[in-house]
Amino acid sequence: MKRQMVGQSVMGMLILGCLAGSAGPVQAQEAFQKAIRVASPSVVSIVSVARGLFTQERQVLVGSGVVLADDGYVVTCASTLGESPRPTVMLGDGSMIPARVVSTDAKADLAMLRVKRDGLHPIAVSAGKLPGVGQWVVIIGNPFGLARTRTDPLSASVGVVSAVRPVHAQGFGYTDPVILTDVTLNPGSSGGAVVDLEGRLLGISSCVLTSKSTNTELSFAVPVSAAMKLLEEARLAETRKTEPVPTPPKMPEGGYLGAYILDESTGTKGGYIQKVVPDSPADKAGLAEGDLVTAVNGTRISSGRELVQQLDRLGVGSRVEFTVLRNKTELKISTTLTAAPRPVLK
Amino acid sequence: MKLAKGFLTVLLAAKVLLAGAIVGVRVLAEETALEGVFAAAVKRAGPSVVSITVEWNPGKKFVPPAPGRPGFERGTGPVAGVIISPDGLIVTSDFNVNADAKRVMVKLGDSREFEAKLLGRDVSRGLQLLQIDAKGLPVPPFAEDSRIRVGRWALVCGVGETPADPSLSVGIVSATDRLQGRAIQIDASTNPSNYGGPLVDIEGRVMGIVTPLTPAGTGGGVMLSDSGVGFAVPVSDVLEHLAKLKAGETIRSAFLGIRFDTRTMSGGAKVVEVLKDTGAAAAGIRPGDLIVEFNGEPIQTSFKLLHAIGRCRVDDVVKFTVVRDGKRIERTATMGARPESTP
Amino acid sequence: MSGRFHSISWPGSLILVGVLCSVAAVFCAAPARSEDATGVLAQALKDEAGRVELIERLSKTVIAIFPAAPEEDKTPAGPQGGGSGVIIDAQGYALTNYHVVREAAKVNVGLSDGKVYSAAVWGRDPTGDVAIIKIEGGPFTFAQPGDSDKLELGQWVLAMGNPFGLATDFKPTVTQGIVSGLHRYLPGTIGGDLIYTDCIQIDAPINPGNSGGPLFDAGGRLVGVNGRVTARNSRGKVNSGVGFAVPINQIKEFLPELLTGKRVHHAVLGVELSEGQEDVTIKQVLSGTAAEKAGLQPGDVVRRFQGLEIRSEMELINRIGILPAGKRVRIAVERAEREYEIEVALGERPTGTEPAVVKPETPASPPEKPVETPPAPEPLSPDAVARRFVEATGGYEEHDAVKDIISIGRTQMLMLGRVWVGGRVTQYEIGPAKLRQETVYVHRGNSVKQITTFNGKTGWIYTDGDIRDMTEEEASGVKGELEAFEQLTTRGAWSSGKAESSGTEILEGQTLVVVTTKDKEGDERRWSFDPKTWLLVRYVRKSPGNHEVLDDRISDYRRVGKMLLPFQFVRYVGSVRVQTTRLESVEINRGVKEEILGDKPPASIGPKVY
Repeated sequence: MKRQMVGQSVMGMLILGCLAGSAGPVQAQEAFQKAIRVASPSVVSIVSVARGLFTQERQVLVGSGVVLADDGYVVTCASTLGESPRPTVMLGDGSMIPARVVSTDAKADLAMLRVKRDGLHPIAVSAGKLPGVGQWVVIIGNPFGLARTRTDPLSASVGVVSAVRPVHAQGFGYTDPVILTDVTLNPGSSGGAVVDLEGRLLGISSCVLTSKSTNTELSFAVPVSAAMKLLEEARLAETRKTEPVPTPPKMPEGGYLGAYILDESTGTKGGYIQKVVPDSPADKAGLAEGDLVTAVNGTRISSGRELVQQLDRLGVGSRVEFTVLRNKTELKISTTLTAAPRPVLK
Repeated sequence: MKLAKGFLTVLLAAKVLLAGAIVGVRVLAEETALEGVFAAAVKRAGPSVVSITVEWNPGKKFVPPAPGRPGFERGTGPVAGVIISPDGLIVTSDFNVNADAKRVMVKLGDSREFEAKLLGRDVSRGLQLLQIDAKGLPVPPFAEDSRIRVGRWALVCGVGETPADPSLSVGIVSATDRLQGRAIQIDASTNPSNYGGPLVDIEGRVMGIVTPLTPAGTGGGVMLSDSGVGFAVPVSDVLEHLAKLKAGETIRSAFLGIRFDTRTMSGGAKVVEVLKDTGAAAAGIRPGDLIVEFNGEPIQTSFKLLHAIGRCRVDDVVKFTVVRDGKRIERTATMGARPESTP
Repeated sequence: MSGRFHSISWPGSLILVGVLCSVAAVFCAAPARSEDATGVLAQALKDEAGRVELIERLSKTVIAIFPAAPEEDKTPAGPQGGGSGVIIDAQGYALTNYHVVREAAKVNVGLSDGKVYSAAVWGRDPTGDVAIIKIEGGPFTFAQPGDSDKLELGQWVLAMGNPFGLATDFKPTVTQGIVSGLHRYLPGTIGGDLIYTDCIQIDAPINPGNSGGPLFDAGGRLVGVNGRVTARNSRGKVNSGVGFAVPINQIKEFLPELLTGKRVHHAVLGVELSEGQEDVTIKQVLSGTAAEKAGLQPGDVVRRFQGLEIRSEMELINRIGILPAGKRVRIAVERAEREYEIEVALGERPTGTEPAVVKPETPASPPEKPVETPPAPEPLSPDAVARRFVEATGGYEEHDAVKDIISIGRTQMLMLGRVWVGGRVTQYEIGPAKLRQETVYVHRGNSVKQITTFNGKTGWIYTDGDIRDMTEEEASGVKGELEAFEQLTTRGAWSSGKAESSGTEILEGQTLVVVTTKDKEGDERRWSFDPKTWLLVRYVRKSPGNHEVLDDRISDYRRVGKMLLPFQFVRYVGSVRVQTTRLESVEINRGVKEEILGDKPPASIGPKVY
């Protein structure tokens, strides 16, 4: 009997040994599963108060975020926070904790939040070198707010790094290289974690943006170095005990021009200026009543509404070049948008 | 005995752990190795990917809507193309480059820039051939048709701001012989940044050229961009038509001029409509006819007829049999060219 | 001798075994440690070839489903488009989605051998969106079921089917991806159909036409049936990386009944739950339900279901939703600090389909003439009223797609001082909850311009040099008119609160059906509908600012796209008319929408003329 046992053990061990060497004819998926298991505890959802045009306030899952440090720092996309200065963070256990915006990087569209909570799981961060084209990425977030309660897992997706280069997208001012991937992003994914096969953070998922190069949607992540830099700034701000007024996100609300634009439904080939506010950027640049704006920064527009939409994408400090038709002559008028003036109370 | 047994147990446990660790390491190593394979494949195909910048004639930058597809505003960035012969022939997608362009500049991997001349266009496959004045260019290795199998890795290379800066999308080959035999279907992300670029396998061999086709045939498939449904024309097809394209010809799909009822799945292909001034009209086909034989092939369903027509060329003379009021009638028709406006 | 043999052989065997084992492991693991690029490529090619072979085998079990020709199928209630399916038995039984076959009796099926077969629709599960068909002929290659409970996030999956009808040779389209999420809940239609109560989320791209097709795991086992995507309307109906499949374990629960050709029902417990920090409590036990019969009580804390721990309301919904009606289950509850295990025979959830009444597919269109419905002798339930209203104004599909309704231009009559003035209002929506509005009033021959920017709380009124802050009432007034309509349409029937009761009222000689709701603050709102047309004609509630009672009379319904929307609002405060607004044009913003694949592939894609 003992001989049998030995025989069986030998067989068993040989089999084990061989199993150790083969992972099956199809691609091994354990790496993806492991990366998701390792990184998911560090990804959170961001809840904001949303107000439709004609509806009451309601809580909406607007995006995702990543826990960077166990003393409560969570990074997310600044633009998904909207105007809400006090977003709520939903953790994996379903609990909702209020968060403060400590600092923002408007160019990279990142915001650093701080929550008061023990037992957070900060994410492991990759060494700092940017990933190479063809490298696997695992993206963890909450697209469409599908994970709603404490027992719902966050969503995960797998793809590769498409390219590492700067992007030109409407409403995005970051000029350093970003990590482009071939995974489609959706509303709610922004602020989520993009990790490597070891579950280490490579970057933060961006908002869904349109590329100026292709006019189709871009899918990329802001490199982790930008998030870590923001973390340092946030720590500094906290120790100084000054509560800096968080820079409000710049998109899609626009900078101030100072011109009343007439809304025409169809037929016009641009937006008419109906009135110019004295001493406004429009006034100083020489826009006048009756001007027909036919293009904004080279992009043709065909209605007053479109003109407003184009302007709303530009933030304070943006330079704008209007192509204007005045008395059958085409002019180019440039100006810089400023901050909106505060109303004077009477 | 107890000690020995305990020892055995410990050793067994250690072996299981070691096996697990080895599986883990091997799995991670395997996945990481695959990344290296992707990168190597892109690198191998890289030198033959070119970056094309197009200056459009006024008003042509916007692709107007057509029946079956919405309008689309082109972006400003460069688009992709592939060197197909060492003496300066470059193939790209006709969505990104076509005769509406004022000026077409091609930038090679070694940063040399050339102005391109437009040669022929294959409307049926969404391809545009260009010629630049250069010799000794690197042509990529091609994959044999037999190597294009469903389930193989499908790597799509696009361009960024510089050609030395390719972008990659990864998926698998979803199907072959799609769109009546015209295209390889893939689930990798395809969009204007990689239309015209190569579809590459993990050995770095070009399987096809990515173009925004739709089942209807026109190149307006941009609404399918990044949807997991993408198409590429097999490189063997491109080479087959190269002589005609080099001679400046426009290749169109063979077109008979009939609309089928796709719900009939037995007994033949049921004709619902016959378009005016087409080969079918000239041959006297009428709505209600059932096409039961085409070029010697028995036809039971409209799908079969679709594929049979797909194998034809413009100006082919075809013989077919219709059943009308119970009688078999034989007819001959000349295949026309598919008009561009027909969706 | 045996003793000595034993005492020597054990350590010896151990060493021998240890050596053999290490050698085996090292030998098999060697390629992974090799730095040799060609070795790595060779392994990758080998793995790839394995996948190609697996797909070839599995493709034989995948079918493309087409509606039967009108002469073949006398029940014209099948879908316009097509879908996919997977054969699960050698005799030709195949799985698909209910919404692919609906109430058709027969369908046509294309197999990867290129041939067309006829199939009868056998069993239906409208609630779970599953159906079984039987293909004539055989024997067929069939798929092996897997275990969807064992799935983990990150696991590799293959989806096969016929998106966009591309498989004209019936060879399926194959896409790959991973399991992106598990135990997802997607609400179904209002009738209670097509509820994806515990589904698998995948990032393998699936598109219209993939419905009913198989989801396989790495071992080639069937783990789900693909059926829905979340599509963004800005991108059209195409996939954006989020798709859903019905898990095979749910299907297994119904398979025996489906195979006998039945229409099955899902289980329902009959309780309302409330979720606390750590646990789930029964808030209410509905009368006449399985829960009541079994003796469950409000206040019971649900601890376990069929032995599995329940940590959230969603978990209980997931678990009950996949079971067939009548199933006996064990629920462990905590009551007054004691634990009880209660056996419940689960009840039956009604389906929304009426097989006896077969309607051909028509696009939702509002009636041209008012539908003649005599006032019901008993008051209708609030939800029944809501249903009639939604159907009269465009139908559930249209309403579900709406995110915002914006009025683009309108004229407004306003009290300015004590004088009525008329003005033309131009309004721009700029991002969520931000509105810029410009109104030009003519007052005593002078034009008074009013610019308001509304961002939810503050606003400015600029009147030719004067700028002042809006009052809260003015701020809330700006959004007023379509609020009621939007509440009823975009977020379900009574998003402003719970429906309390319904009854009738008489307004200016007309009898109206009234539903009262209570909002979060406990304030009552009243919604009045014309029983001849089921349109909303009156909406009464307290103004949030100063608690005045606002009474809006809503009229002049016009068609906008496929919806009927109101264009005139007359507002009374008490009995005093304070404002009349007439909209000039209205735009409907559509948002994220759950897509059901397989119904009518996009019109732009698909062969037309050859």
